[in-house]
Amino acid sequence: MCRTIRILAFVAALAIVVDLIGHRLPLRADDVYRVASVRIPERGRRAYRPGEVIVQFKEAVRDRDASDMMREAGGRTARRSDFGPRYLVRLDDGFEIADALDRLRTMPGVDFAEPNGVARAFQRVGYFTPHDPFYTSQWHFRMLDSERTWGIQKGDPSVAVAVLDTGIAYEDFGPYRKAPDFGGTVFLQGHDFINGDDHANDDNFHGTHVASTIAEATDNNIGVAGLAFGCALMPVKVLDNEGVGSFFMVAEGIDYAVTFTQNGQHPVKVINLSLGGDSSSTSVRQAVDRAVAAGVTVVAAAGNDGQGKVSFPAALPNVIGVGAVDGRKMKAPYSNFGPELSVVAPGGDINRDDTGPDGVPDGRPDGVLQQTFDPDTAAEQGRYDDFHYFFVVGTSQATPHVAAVAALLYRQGITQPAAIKAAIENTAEDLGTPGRDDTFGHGLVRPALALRGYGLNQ
Amino acid sequence: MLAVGLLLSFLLAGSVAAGPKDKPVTSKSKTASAKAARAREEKCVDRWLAERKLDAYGSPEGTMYAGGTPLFNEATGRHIDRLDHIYRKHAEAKVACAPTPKKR
Repeated sequence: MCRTIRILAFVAALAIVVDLIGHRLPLRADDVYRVASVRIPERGRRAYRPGEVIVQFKEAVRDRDASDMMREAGGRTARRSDFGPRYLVRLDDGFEIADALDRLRTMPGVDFAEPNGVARAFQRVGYFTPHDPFYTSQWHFRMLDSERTWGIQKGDPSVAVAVLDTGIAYEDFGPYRKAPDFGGTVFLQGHDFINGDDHANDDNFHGTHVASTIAEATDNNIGVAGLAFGCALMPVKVLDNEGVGSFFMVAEGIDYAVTFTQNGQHPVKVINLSLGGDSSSTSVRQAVDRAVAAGVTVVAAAGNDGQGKVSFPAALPNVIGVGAVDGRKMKAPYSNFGPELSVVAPGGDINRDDTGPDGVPDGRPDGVLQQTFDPDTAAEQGRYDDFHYFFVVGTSQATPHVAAVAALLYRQGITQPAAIKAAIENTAEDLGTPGRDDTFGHGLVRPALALRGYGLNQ
Repeated sequence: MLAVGLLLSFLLAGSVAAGPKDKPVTSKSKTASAKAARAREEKCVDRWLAERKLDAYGSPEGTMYAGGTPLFNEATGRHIDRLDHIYRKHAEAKVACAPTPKKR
């Protein structure tokens, strides 16, 4: 009897503790975390703060008269400068800045009136900081020293990355919608090998998220950034709406990307394969060989079984096989490992929160943050327009970081896949056991060092 | 009130944790036995899959998956057990390989 009571008390205590933890960290592992709902893209960078004007009155104007004039021009509130009769005026809803300025400038007591311009920090020399509002939550780019990387190379549409996946939300076609944060991204003509047409639209969510890491429109005041945002993307659909495909489809997709020409050029320089299987295939291996012989770098996910076996085709020697680390640069629990692993990149761990500003928890799971549509809305309602920013984890998310680096290296002038692979491996940050090991491969990819030519060209 | 309950529960729980000395040994041998049973079951399932030319996840050979596996959901971070996944797809594999529960 006494033992039963003790056990019941123990269970009760456990429940209380779990409940307390639950309140402290409200995000559960099975939550797909939304940072924000879809927003209408705005063209270019906003030059002025909305609904605000600056007005300076002549010295002789009394404060009461100034107040009347500002109200007459549509002002709701005003803040006086500590150094003279200069005011920051916030306009009432419905009043346009241009109208307010027109009115103020005709008033005799006004010295001048102007819109309140947006002040921006100067870019540090050699660095590039994008103004995408959720960029600060992209810890995975910070880990890769992205701003220094962009200071060297941002990419160019002459270099394209083919994303062989579930498709990309790249166009408005039928029930499919272009993701709002792909505004300025260049897309090449892709192909849908699942449905047999030229509209490689995403009907799962996976491909769009992967593609966003490579070339999300960046510095556009919307959402998040992409690591090789200047490069072009090619959507190639080889996985169905459940994320399943076949060797045949993948081989077809590789051949399509490699043989694609535009203006007599072969723009696809990198193929991203955030996919794999547990057995090997001659048709895929031969397609990869053809790609590499044609000067195309193939990057593939090591797989998410958490086992010591790298998935196929990441295990092929001429493919860059990518494993995943979490926000602490520790091996992610799901990441496969083994002798074929080339490098690791951030793939995150949705059960951890180590990546807030200054390394303190920020209440958000440590996934890779990118834009895609809600997979639940897509699966349940067949709607592909419910775009949000999602934290997603996996070697699928680590792989496009490396594919983006490969694309930037092509833009830097390296043209051979073996040289690209060597540049990425030789400049990686050694993690775990000194030297190459099966857990981290050559280590964590360091794009800025690779681009500067350390290692390979030293 | 909550804190008092919590403290009391922890104290009681401490008493529960301090059990007879032979308990861990029993638990360890049980774990070893469960591991061996799992290994036997996996071997049986892998043989069953190979006979039917299915991959390690119960799909036709040559199947490719987003992320390399159908067992890990990248949107949720949740992993599902391989044998559970296969048994859901192929009930006959469960009949052939899953240990039958003992009758009490």
